[in-house]
Parts: sequence; C-alpha cells; structure tokens
Amino acid sequence: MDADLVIRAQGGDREAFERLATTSVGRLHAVAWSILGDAMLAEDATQQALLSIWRDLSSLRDPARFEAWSYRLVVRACYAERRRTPRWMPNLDGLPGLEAVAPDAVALVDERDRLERGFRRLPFDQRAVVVLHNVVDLPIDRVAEILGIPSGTARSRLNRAMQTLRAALAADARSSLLDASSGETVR
Amino acid sequence: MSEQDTTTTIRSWLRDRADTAPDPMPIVATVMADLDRVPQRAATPWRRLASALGSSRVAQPWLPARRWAPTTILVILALVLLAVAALLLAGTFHRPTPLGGPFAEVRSATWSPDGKRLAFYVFNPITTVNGNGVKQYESPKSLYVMNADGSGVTYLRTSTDASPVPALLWSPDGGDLLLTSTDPAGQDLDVRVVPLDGRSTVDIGRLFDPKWSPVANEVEGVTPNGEVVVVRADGSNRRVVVGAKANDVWWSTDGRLLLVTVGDQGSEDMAIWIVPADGSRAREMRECSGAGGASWSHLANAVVCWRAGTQDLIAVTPDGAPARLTEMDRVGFGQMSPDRSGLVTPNLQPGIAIIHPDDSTVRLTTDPHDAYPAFSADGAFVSFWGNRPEGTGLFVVPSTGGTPKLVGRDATIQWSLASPWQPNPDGPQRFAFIRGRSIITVAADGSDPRAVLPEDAAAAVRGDDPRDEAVDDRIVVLADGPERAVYRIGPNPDAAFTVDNRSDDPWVVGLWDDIGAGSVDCGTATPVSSISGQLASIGSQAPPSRPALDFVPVTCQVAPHSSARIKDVGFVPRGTLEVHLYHVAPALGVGTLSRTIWLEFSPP
Repeated sequence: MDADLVIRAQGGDREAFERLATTSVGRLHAVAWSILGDAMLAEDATQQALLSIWRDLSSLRDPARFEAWSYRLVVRACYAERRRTPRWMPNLDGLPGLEAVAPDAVALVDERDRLERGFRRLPFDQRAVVVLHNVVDLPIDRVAEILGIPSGTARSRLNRAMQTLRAALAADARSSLLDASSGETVR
Repeated sequence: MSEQDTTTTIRSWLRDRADTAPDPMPIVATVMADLDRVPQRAATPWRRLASALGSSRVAQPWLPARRWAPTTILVILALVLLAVAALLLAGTFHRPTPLGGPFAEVRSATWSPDGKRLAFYVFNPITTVNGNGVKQYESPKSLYVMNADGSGVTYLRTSTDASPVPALLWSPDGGDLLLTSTDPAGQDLDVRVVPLDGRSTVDIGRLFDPKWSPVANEVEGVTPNGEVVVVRADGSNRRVVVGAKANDVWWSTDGRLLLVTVGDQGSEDMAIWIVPADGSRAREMRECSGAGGASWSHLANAVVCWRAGTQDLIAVTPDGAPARLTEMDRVGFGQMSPDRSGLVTPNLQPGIAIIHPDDSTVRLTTDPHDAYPAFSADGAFVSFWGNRPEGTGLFVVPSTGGTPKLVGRDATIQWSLASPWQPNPDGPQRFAFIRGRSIITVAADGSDPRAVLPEDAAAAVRGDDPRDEAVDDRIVVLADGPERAVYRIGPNPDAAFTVDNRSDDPWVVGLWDDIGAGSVDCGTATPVSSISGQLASIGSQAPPSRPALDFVPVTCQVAPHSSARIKDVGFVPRGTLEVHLYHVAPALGVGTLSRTIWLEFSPP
C-alpha cells in the first residue's frame, strides 16, 4: 500500500482516495463477501467501509497500517450490515444437515454445499476470524489486532469455527451417504 | 478424512468462495459519488495529541497508547472535563440530523383533519451504480408526521415509487393515512393505508384514484378492470359496488352514495349511476342520459350532468327530481367555504371571485395570474397563488374583499399543500406552505412566520446557499447534479439564467413556473418536449385533484460540457422559480434523475 496515497487522501485529496479505494476494494469486498455470503449485503458493507475509511482517515496515525485498519472497518461494516438487514438469516433454520433435503438434490449435495451450510451456521465473530485467517491469510495475532480482541480469543474463535465446519462437513457427509444409499427423502 | 485434510479442504473452499465474489469495481464509483455526503472528519485534538505523545501500542496504531505517562493522564483528565463541558453546552447548539441528504425535497405536506398534525414526504434522490457500472437514480420517499408546531417528527415509511407528487390523504378521523402513488405513466399503483397508531400498513390493492369516505374510515377506488371497490381502512369488508367500466367516482358528502360515471368517455353508452356505498341497489340516472360527465353540485344536494359535446348543464337530485342549477355549478371549479355560503373560484376571469348560492358574486382580485384560491378554516380569508408586481407566491385577502397581501414567497406553493389553511375554525387562522425545502406556517395577516420544519432539519446543506445579496445566475451542473440548491438571480426582464453543464451527459432543464402564459427561450440549448419518449414538460404532471393549467410545454436540453442562456420569457421574475434538471443517461436511454433547484429573483 502506497503510504503517500494514504497521506494525500488524509488531506482530502479525492483522486488519491479514489486510487486507494480502487486498489483496496477487491480485498475488502472479498472479505465482506466471504463473511456475509450475500452479494448485495457484501456490496453495501464494502461501500460503507470505504465511506468510513474516507470519513475517518484522519484518525489513522500510521499510514503504513492502512491495510489492517481497513480490514477492521470492513468487518465492522459486515457486523452492521448483518444487524441492519438479517434478511437471509431466517433461511438458516431450514438448512440443518438432516432435514429438508429432497431426493433429487441428494446427488447434487457436494462437499462445498455442505461447507456453505456449515459456514452459515457460524456466529459472525467466528466467521470474521476464519475469513481473515484463511482467506486473507493473516496470522492469527494480526487477526486479533484487526478485530481488537486478545490473541487467545482469536485462536479460540478460530478453533471453534473450524471444529464446527469439520463437524458439519462430517455430519452432512454422513447424512448424504445415508440418503444416497436409502434413496429416500430425508425429512 | 484427517484433521489436516479437512482443514485444507476448508481453507481451499474458503478461498475459492472468496474468488466468486462479484466484480467490486462499481462500488468505487458509487462511493466516489457519495463522498459529498460524507465529509471527512478533521483530525481531532485527541488524535493530534496522541500522535504527538507517541504510542507504545504498536500493534494497533489507530488506538491510544496503553501505557500512560503521568502527563498523559493529566491531559486526559483535562480533556474529559472539557468533553463534559461540551456535552453540557451541546443542547444549546444541538442541530438535529437532517431527514434527507443534500438533494432532499419536501413534498405533499397535508394537514390532519383536526389541524394538529402535518404529514409530509421527504424525497431523497440518490445515485447508485449497478453491476454493469451504469448509474441508476432512485428517489426514495420517506413519509413523516409531526405536530403543527414542528415537534414530534415521526418517521412512518419509505417507498421508492417514481411518482413526482404522491397523494397523501388523511382519514376523516385522522387515524390513518392513505398513500397513493403511481409511476409517471400511471401504471404501477401503490395504494396502502398507514395507521398512525403503530399498527401494520394495509395494502388495499391496485386502485386508481382512491378516496376516503367523508365520514368513515372507508376507501373507494377503481380497479384496473374498471370495478368500483369500497373497502375499510383495515382491508376488511371489501366489496365491489360497480362491476366494470367505471371512470370517475365521487362520494356524497354524507358518505352514503357514490356518483359513478360508467362507460367510455364521450361515447353514447356512457351512463351516470348513483351507487349506495353499502353495495345495495344502484340507480342509473337516466335523466343524465347522453351526458359527457357528472359531478355533485357544490351545495351537495344534486347531481350536475353536462351533455357530451356541449356545455349544457342540468341538475338532478339523486332520486331523479329536477333541481336548481346555481351559478356556482355553471362555473364549475372552485372551493366551497366551510359553511357552504360561497364558492371561491378562479374561473370567473380575470382574477378570483366568490359566488354565493343566490348567484351573487363578489370579485376579490382582477389579476389573470391569480390561481388556486382556498378559504381559511373560518371562511374569513382567501389565500391564492399569484405572480404580481409585489412578488410571486401566496397571497391572502379577506373574503369580504380588500388588498391582497403577499405572505409566502414561493412559486411552488400550489404543488405543496392541496389545502394550505390549518383546520382550526375557532382559533387563530394560520396556513402552511413549503418554501424550498422547509415547511413554514404563518398567520393570515402574514405575521408570526414559523419554520415548523426548518430547511436544515429537512435536508443536508448543499453548497453555499446565498445568504447575502450576491448574485449568481450560473447554475453549474456536475455529474451528480447542480452544485447548489438555491441561486440568486439578478434583476432581469426575462428570468434569464445560465446552465453550465460540466458533466459528460446531457441535462434537460424544466421550468416549474406554472403560468403557462409565456414561452421558454432555450438559447443555444436544444428545445425538447420529451426525454427519450417520456413527456418532459414537468408542468404536465398535475397532482391529483388539481386541474391542469396550460403549462409551458418546452424544456431545454443542454449538451455535455456546454452552457446555455435560458430565458423564461413569460415569467415575471419577482419571486422564486423552481427549476428541475433532468439527467439524460445515454446508457439507460431515459432521463430518470431530476434534481430541483430554486432561483430567487432579486426585485427589479
């Protein structure tokens, strides 16, 4: 990240901010998309994060830390977006692994679908840790720093999240195998 | 599968999933367009101080240091004390968050039947960019109610329909609002009842021209199939009282009967029916056979029919007996006084007159531009909109005659309140109008003006509105619209101003002068009468229950990166002129964005 761009944007230079936003939007949107799993919500969260960056850029003391700071804002925006419009959350109730899987869909249920369902069962604070660690590839201490939580908390959230994902993967795999072998609708 | 394998699988899935995120680049364009609405915060003294003091907390450079030096603690204490003092003073300088953004407009303000509340819309035009990078324009309309003194502003709902002037009707008991809105083509109907006691909104279906019963919380309207439906405010007791082909429907003043015109307008099979609202047996008024239309008489005791192709009128009681045709009914349009002792009308030109039931007439004004007269709640005053030597806006004259007084300078008032007078028959007579982006109430004599919804409460500041006598008649149009909301135009005989289009797209300029007597000189801009097939003359969009006047039919299209001197030749530039600017988006093929500005003309 070009610290000069950050400094210029801090001074109100819109062109600099636009370049900053252009180079940042991809990674911020990927985080928002990964956490929220909804295109519109992710777009809104990314947009809000960029506006927050513009608004609060003057509060960033060390321009070299822009990247970590911007992750923090996009995670916050995801939390806010989720609180504001929890529109797909009710659907999660219909997604537990052992129900509502039609027989013709059983064959189509692959590993990634199971992971998607498992991921959506994760609390938001765990999702943020998982995404920043596994998608952005940040060390867990850095994730803790970005989220403003102790490293131990970040580690435990990551562990719990991964356990949940593994369990969901295994459970759904078992149910899929059972369903496929019986050929019956699971209700 | 081992734990390591599952971890690898999960990580792989997460990364692949992230790669499927849609193209985020349009977000940047949206954000850049929104920057004006999000001013950058200046570095706070705390930040500067923290920066100067340095930080031992390298891990989170945006947070204050964790290890406090004694001097730092003292500084913090001092700052805390300052903050407490600032909070105590905050009440003095408190400024509420505006209801809308910098392009917000206030529309459709309407008094409650008891005069204690005002309902109004705040239009909040916004620009977004869709997934293909194309700009889209929306104008969410948020509905609010507030007390007559401006207190207790309460948000009710937001809609995103395209109607420029959505109707807003109070139920007779003041407990519900009936919202009707359509797109400019009148296709999509959004008709719903909004209870003000917190109950859920009731969608009462697709109905054209819905109206409250005068006495009960019931609504009538015409379905797209031409059926006349009556339904309670809560959606219950829905009944079809006319099966098909209905056109106009009017309640009787007692709410018992509906006067319905049925059949194709102007055809021989057009018929007039009297239909009980309870759905019981209807009666065709054969006395009106061959009529071109009908309405209730101004005294509400008869039906007045007019022959197709002629202006011959007859008056008939609802049960078919002949009735006396009054001069009020011959004149047609006007507003009855609260005690029904007279009709105030602009139809006895020139000027405004009151006609009494005995056909005697009192002429109040003689200026041909005077329009939209309305009686005060006690009948003692008449307000009207005028464009006179003393200014353009709302005038008040005693209903017994006298000199009109300009009390509300605003050329757009007639679009603002269907009935400006506060319903308060026994108390002081006041009325309300919308000026620019604020709602003002004022006493009948023009004294005691109160901004019950101040401009800065309704809309965020857009540019530096002219507060002094500086003249600026160059309207600079940028990509998202004009850079300011209000421009002060110097004295000139043709209401001339310059539009400097610095954007990459054409903008169409529409003048909302509402006079219809003049013409528009587009200068070097291109005169247009439509924007990609949509009628561009803003004046053609008459609000419900308003007669369409002869509006200026020409708008001017200003090419990208060019400027044009535009003159509204027929407008007497002595007040405020509302100007709408339509953005023509080539990618969309339609002009879907309008931004409103106000031109304040200096006295000649």
